Amino acid sequence: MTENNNEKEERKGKYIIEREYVEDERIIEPEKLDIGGVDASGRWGLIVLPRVIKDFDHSLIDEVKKLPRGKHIERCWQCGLCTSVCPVAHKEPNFNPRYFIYIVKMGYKSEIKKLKKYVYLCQGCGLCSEACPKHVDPSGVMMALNILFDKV
Amino acid sequence: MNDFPLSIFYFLFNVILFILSTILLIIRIKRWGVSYPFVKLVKELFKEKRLKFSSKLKAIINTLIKDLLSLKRAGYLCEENFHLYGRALLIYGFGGIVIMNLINFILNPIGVPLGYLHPLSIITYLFYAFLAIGSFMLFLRRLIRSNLRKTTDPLVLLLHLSLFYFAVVGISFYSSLNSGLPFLSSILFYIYLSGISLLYLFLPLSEVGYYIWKASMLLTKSLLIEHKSTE
Repeated sequence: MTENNNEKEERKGKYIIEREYVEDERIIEPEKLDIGGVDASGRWGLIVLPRVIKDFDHSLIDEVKKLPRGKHIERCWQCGLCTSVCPVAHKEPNFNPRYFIYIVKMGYKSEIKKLKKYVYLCQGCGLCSEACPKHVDPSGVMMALNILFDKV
Repeated sequence: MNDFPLSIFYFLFNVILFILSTILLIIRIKRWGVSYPFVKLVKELFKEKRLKFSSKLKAIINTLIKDLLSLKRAGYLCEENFHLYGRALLIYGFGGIVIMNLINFILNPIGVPLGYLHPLSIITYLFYAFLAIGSFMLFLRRLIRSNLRKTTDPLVLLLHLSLFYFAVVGISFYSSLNSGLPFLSSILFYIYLSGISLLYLFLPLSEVGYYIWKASMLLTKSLLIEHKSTE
């Protein structure tokens, strides 16, 4: 019984893009839902509840800019090219340079705490810096984020 | 050139610069406002009750071999072979030079010219060549790639150039010594010292300082994991 429940939990919201960033509690997938005769159960009735974040820290980005090679972080416009070329991101989806930059720019401290162990995976190959159209130097920014995430 | 005081001078010169370099690194890490992993690392290494010596050694070797020598944490996933080989040559070359300098100092403290065909000379030359080629490859890669060139921090280019300078000067100095040219080798000795000073004083302020910090963090973590697994 418990195993069946676990399987259901694992399946929940599996079609959501970047599913790993959505907490299980925020996903509602009704087992049975009938809307005017139309079966909307399971993924068809999926609702993702909005995330409530209270611990914003807007000083994080200024800290990154002071750290070595982190000065261009503000240029990022979230195109995601860095993540698409990153060989580490292909192996480990939790390592997502675009998202790391995003959470720092927004100041999501709780999210940083959750993902801090993954930022060390950066190998500094520089493929992201070559791909970046805004000259953010993501591989350099990852160095700065390593240092910042250690403090958070 | 070959008298004893000069080798003592060389030894002291290295010790003093090493201390200066460590101080610079500590100041730099303090400015970042992060914890000192070295203190944690030393604590983990010397806590008698926590781990057996063999387990500590295993963790250290694992980190050294898996993360550094196999380039796991230093770019083995990079799809660009030019970069991967450049890094491998630089890391093996630099590590090899440090080890060979220590071996040379222990086995040949007076600094007698060994000749080109002595095994120690051959290995030393090989590592200097590795470092020269590796650092030049990395420097070249950043110059050729237009986007990478635009975003590259000048300090990164300076790092590659200083490593290249050190390797070239090292090869020139040992060659002059092995060729029996005392005047030239004494001049090149001081130029070689300038290369060493440049590295000692610049490396903690460059990316290498960050990598030393990161490596000690990883090592501390692997020791903690090893500790948890034995509990």
